[in-house]
Amino acid sequence: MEPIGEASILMPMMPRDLSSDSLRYSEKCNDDSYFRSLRDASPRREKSSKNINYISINEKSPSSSPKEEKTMGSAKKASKLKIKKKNSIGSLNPIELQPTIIGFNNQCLGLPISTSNKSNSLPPNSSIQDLDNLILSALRIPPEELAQQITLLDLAIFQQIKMDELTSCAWTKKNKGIITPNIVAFTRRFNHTSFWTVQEILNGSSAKERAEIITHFIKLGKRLLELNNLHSLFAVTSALKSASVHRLEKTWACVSKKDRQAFEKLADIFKEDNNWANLREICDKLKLPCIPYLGVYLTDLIYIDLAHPYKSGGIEPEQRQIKMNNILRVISIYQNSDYSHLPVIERTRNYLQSLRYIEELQNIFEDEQYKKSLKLEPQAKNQSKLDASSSLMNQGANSYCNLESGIASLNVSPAKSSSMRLNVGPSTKFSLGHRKTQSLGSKYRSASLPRNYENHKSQNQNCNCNNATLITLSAGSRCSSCRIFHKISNQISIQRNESFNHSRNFNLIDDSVLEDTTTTTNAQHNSLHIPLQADTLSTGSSDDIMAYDESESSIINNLDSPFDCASFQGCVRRKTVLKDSRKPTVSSWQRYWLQVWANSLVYFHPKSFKGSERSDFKREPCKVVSLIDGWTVELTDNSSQTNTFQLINSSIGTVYKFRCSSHELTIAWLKALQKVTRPYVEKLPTNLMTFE
Amino acid sequence: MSKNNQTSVQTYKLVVVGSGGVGKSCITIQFIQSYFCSDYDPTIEDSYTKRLVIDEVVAKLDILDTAGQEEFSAMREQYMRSGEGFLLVFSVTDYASFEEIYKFHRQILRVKDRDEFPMLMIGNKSDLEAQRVVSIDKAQELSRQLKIPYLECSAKVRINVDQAFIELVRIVRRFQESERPVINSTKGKPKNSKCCLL
Repeated sequence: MEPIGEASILMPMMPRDLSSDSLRYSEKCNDDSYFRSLRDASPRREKSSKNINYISINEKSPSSSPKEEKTMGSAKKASKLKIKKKNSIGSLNPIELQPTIIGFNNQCLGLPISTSNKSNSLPPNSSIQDLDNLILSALRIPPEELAQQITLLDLAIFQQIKMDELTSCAWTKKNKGIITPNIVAFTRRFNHTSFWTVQEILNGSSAKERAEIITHFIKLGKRLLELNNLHSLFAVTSALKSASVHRLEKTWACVSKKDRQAFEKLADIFKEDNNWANLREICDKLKLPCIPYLGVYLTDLIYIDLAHPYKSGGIEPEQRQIKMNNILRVISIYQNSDYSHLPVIERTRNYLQSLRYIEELQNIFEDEQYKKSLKLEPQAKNQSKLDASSSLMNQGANSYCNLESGIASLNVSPAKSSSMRLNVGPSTKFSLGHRKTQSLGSKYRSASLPRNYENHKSQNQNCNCNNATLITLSAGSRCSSCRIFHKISNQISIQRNESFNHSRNFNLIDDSVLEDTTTTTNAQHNSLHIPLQADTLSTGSSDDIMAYDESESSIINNLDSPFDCASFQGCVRRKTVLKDSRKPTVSSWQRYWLQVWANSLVYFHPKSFKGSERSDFKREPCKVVSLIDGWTVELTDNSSQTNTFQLINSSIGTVYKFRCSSHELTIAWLKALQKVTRPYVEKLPTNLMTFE
Repeated sequence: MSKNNQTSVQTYKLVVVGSGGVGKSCITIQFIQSYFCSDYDPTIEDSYTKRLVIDEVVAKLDILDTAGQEEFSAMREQYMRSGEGFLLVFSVTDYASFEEIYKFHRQILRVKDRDEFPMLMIGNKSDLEAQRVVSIDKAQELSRQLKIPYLECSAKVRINVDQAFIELVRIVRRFQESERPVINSTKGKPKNSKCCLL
């Protein structure tokens, strides 16, 4: 059942630390105890499968004999001796530890290692624990074997659950441990499995590695489903949907689409919609053996208990009895499940049970995992865990660019000029100085002023003035860099929020673009994953603007300036209606991520066929079109198409049609584009002084 | 799908959370079934949905109550993710359940990955005044701290049960409105004025 097929299953996910892996396997193979621990006929096959696996992936040079490889792993000459020596001592620990060093050496010395080995030669730090168990990571056990052993462990506890425990409805009460010990134990297994899954995934040090582990667990999920072990399947899917794992966007991006879909399918089973309709339906169809997810039955029992309480004198109402019995019968049928055809593999069992898990400390464990998750992919967190009310301005930027600072996100903007970065230093400093004013939740500060500004969340004009001054100063202090910037786009808008009730969205010289993206974000509301909040949404529109003109070196506060949406972005579909006065022979709707940047429209190609979020599109723009000369934008007349607008350039005879997901969005786009295409009049500020 | 068919009826996915024994299920069942019918079946699909008119707008409430599954803590985050509004229930007679509120609150925000989300804190069993261990002041203090409204109710004598859900729907609506139509109002308004310029 296992040998070759398994090896092939293992292969794609094994390579991450093969050098160490193979060593461990080989060690096990040499170790008699390894064989002893394997029951049935599997040891031989097991061994061969491991060998196949190991040989096939590990060594690109098939010249060396398997035996030699076993002891050597992928280590090169330099480390060969060392290992042999270690190996000969026969102690496991040094061997376990060695690979790290070897891998490192190899990398450092630039020794010729096949790339796959090289990049993966560093084992995750975590894998050097639990030495006693021989198995150091779930990745080293085929999903099928894991699924089988988990199922056997589950079944043992599941079968012990007594009907009395179920009818007592006491598993949530204080004395649950005494009255319902087996339900508690079974629940604990659920949490344990889930905890283990999360832990394993977070042990991956790189996104790619974690994705590999996730894929492994998705495969485990499939196997669990094959075994009708819904209990642990739910535990695994829950783990993948837990806050700590779910938020790892970079990791998920590395998981293949096929696997992600497979996972969604598995997770769908446990959708709580319509009173767990999916799960109930599947349970009805299942045949034995099966380990059900007990939780739903527990809820049902609680409700029956509630709806039909014992009457005075302890008489059990008939309804209660009937309904409870219906559920108990189902459960007892499941308890007759027979999984005896599955082999018991002690080694894997030990591994599965080795993870220390203390139910009582679960909150702490979860916190730890979450912290770890944040540590692994902090940007992703920033990206979404923003206080929407204060840092929205940066969200747009960060959502499309997983870089740590607002500046970095400028990369994506069409004016990808390094000169823009000049602003970064001083501006950051500047804003830091005012950091205290920032509202609590804001995790971001834009490259320049905004956060201070927003904090003033000014309710009155005074505040307004202060802020204006701040901006002026900062602008002045960075005049030189501004100038460079100006060359890129003649007009820089500093967008300030005049709607003081919730103002925060405003642009500074250098990052005007980014901030405005928030506006877009708003417009897309649900389509983007970035959480938006009520008050934040009010930002974009009513801002007043200070247009910064290089030639005059003056800040113009243009209250009614159309520039309040200097930047805008979102997913649209585009169709060419007319190009160079000719109708294209083939014209289809194409999906783009579209950004308005200053006076230009920037297109980004999609990465995949689906998805409308920034992350579904490439980071690098594919074309940049200046909208200054001759372009006009208008709504499509056709009343049936309320969510399309057209971009027309009559001078070159080109017409593009754009489609958005909603009418509101179309209007927003229209407005944003009009501001760029329409000539505007600058007004002198009423409340600002020039800084020259 | 349902949105298209019944244009005006919006479904609200409300989740009732709280530690075991605080009377979550009691609140839910009191709300769903205004009276206990003898043939109540908790296993059928729509056992936890209810339609009602709130502020002159029809709403369909889809209530998820995981009573009995509290100990399956690992699956909490999954169902939290789909909730649009949360009732954080504790019992005024059980201080530990009150302390749990903070954890639930944090977990929800974590799962939702945001700093605010529609939630309503419910102190249940307010009828058991003699056994009360969580004072109203204390609860209100937490309410202020977490920035979520607080309501005391008694599922047993049916006080404030409907109000709890109705209030939560209002909170959800406010929250959702604040997310969406602002685009219309802020973007739309200036837009209208500028349209004539075109």
